Amino acid sequence: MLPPFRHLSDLDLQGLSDDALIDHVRRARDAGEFDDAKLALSVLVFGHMDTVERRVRLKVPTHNVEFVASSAMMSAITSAFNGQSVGEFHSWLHTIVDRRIADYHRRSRVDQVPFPSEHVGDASVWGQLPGVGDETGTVEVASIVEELLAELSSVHREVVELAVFDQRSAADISAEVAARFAGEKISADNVYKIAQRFRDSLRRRLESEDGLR
Amino acid sequence: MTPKNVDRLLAEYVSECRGGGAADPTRYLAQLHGAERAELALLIDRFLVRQPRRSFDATAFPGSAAESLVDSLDASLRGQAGLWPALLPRLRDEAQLKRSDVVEQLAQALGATDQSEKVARYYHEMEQGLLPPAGVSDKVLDALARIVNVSAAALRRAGGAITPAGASTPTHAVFARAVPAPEQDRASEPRSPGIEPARDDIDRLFLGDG
Repeated sequence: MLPPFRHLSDLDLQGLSDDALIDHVRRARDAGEFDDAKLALSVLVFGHMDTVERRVRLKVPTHNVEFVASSAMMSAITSAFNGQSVGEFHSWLHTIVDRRIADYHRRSRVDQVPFPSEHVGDASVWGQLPGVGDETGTVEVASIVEELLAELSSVHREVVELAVFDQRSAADISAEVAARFAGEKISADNVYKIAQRFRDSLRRRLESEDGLR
Repeated sequence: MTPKNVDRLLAEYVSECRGGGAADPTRYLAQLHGAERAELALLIDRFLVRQPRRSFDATAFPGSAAESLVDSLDASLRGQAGLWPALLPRLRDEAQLKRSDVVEQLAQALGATDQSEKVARYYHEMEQGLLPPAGVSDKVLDALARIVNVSAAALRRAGGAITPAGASTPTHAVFARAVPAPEQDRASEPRSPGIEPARDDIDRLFLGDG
């Protein structure tokens, strides 16, 4: 049996994970405590909205950014709220953002509204990248990164994620790899080399794709 | 341009983002072309995906896009019409239509121009989450879908997107109303259960046959 609903301040809520926030929204709603539910939603939406909008802005014309970003956020929260999401909310949210952007480029407006039954099984329908180009070409080339990462060992993949995509310092990464992977030691110099090799491969692939257009 | 430009622009973008700036990526992308532009877009995108949740800022929240979305979701949570309260006003805005425009077109599509006040009241209740989606006919959703340029099926799905708390059996009597139309802002008031007047065709289109 669940403990009774407990009111939490915005400071308390900030300490919760995304998934715990959604659980709090659900429990507040079920307890009829709608103001509590709204406060938790505020913490969740405010915390991610800027990032979602920036991602959408990379790939969608300015006048449609807010609609696509809001649709994605609504869809992700609703499906998580209904227990139809998969894994942690953070990665689920970005999966839905990718789908909404892909929908935007692939489809007419007809179905660009939230899909309450959205779940991992929809990926084959909604998760494919479109064959038409967006303004930046990002949508078309995103899968190249996945292909290149798949060729790496788990340690090197982590190094690339931290160095290239998270823009962390080589010294930080060296320490983090040592802490996370028992027996692995990667010097700051090696971090730089691994990251650089990845960037070189990525650039070659992108130039090759660009030449084919 | 050389790859160093990609690195420099990425570093500048990351710095602006971490410093709490607007960090509009298009401003950075505009400085590159072709494969380099694609590379920068991709690197920025992956950087953004890895960003943790931003701390709540009670002073920045009011007036933000986040607040607008939260208000919509709040109405959806409080109502019994799934995402309609969140979605319908946005679709209307996207279609650049005022509510009165939507109502006028909807009444026309339903052949009810002489009952546009009643149509207005029902549409208002759809936007407020007060009308159980199960009772709203396909004819209404088809017409509305054409007006706001989405599919009727998508509208139907959105209406069922959030299960109302403890409302597995919607009380249709609550949604029965006397025919005389109150002014629109009264439409959100719960109606008294009790004597249920006979439904006319427009009532049935929005409430079902029950």
